[in-house]
Amino acid sequence: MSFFPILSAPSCVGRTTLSNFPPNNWEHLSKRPVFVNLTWSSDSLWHSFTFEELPFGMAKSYTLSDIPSNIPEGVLPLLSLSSSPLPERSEVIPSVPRPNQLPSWRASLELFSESASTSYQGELDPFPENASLLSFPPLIQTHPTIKNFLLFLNLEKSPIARNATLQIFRSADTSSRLDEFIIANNSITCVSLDSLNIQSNDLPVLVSKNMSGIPLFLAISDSCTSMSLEHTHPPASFVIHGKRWEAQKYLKIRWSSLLEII
Amino acid sequence: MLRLATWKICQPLTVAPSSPSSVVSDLFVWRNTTSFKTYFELTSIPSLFNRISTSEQYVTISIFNAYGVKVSDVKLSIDSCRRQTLDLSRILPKGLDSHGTFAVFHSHTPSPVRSLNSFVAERGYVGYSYNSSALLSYVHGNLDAIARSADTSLQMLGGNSLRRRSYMLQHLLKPPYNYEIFVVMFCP
Repeated sequence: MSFFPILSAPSCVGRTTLSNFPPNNWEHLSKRPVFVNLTWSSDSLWHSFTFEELPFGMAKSYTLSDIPSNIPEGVLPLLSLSSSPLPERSEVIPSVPRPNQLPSWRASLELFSESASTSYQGELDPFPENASLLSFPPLIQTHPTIKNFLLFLNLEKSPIARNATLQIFRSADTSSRLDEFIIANNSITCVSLDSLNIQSNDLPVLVSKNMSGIPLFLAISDSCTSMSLEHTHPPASFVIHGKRWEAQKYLKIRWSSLLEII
Repeated sequence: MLRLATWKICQPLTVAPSSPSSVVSDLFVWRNTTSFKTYFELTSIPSLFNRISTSEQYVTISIFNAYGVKVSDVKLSIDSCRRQTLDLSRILPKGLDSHGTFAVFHSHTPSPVRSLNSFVAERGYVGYSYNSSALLSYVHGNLDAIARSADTSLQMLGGNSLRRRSYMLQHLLKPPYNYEIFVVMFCP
């Protein structure tokens, strides 16, 4: 059933709504209550805490303050649903079932302020530690009254903290790097994008050789009355059928060469 | 396994285009009212795979009304490795209802993709603006809904099932908000 993070971002509170019913009528037919767990990584261990049951057919929303647990500041809180409580400590992220494939079992991952809210249907599964990232996000809004943030979401099986570098270029001008950021595993890394001087016709390209993840793009109006949150897909989504993951590999090699990433 | 087989065997949710020259698109929802306007983030996907000639730097936008009837094709030039935010209200024919769908077909499937027996697919980003807000609220596509072959014929890519399939929305609809749900039918 994957993990469902509680997101965080400037001027916003994260709220995640879990559902104990499947998205379709043919893959998962259990009608039992499930345990709701909170998992996080700290001190090179995974920590989990099972705090309630969710009856079948129900959905419930959680902010971090709704959960009776003192988790360390700054860690990524991960909710999950399971048929038995998760181990309190582990050296590998606990296994949670994934009963649905088409569509995946998802939660509503939301950020809200006093006067606006934005969400997407999402889930988070561990990325391989040797994975890389290539993304072409056309989601940065250049109007002067809008603030833009990249929220980089990563999860790995190991709780051992590590960092990597995320670089951003203009795809039409591969010779000059716009900026470089440090991203962390098992975290949500927030980066303001407004100082990069990205123009409305620029197609940025994001690359990381040493870490994959989900790039989320948050836009907030000055008054916090309007918000937008959406993620980009991996480059394999540019093609369908055939050997589409080979197409992604081709793109990663091509753009790694074009950008001369060290 | 046997139970799942009765749902899956010979009943794909989507089918592959019948023509190897086809390009594929999601069917995106456009809205055009006094409150809502629709935008699409155009990028040249073929140009990300290899250098393309000037004559290949275009997309064809097919616009459908609320009943799925195609009402126009609009050919637009786009630059390689650039982003172009398309205001749909500029290309929607006059006299349409408040909503419908549109598809974005790239000029061709680039050779590195064709060699993998794959098709280029546009499943990109629609932005909706509300009233006077400058902010666009983005939604990504994710469906291989419709194909356009080299002879410009269209093929709906939805599959059929022997059994009745249900989709349960895993999202809470909460008061006091107003919700509108758009269902896009993409079966032949």
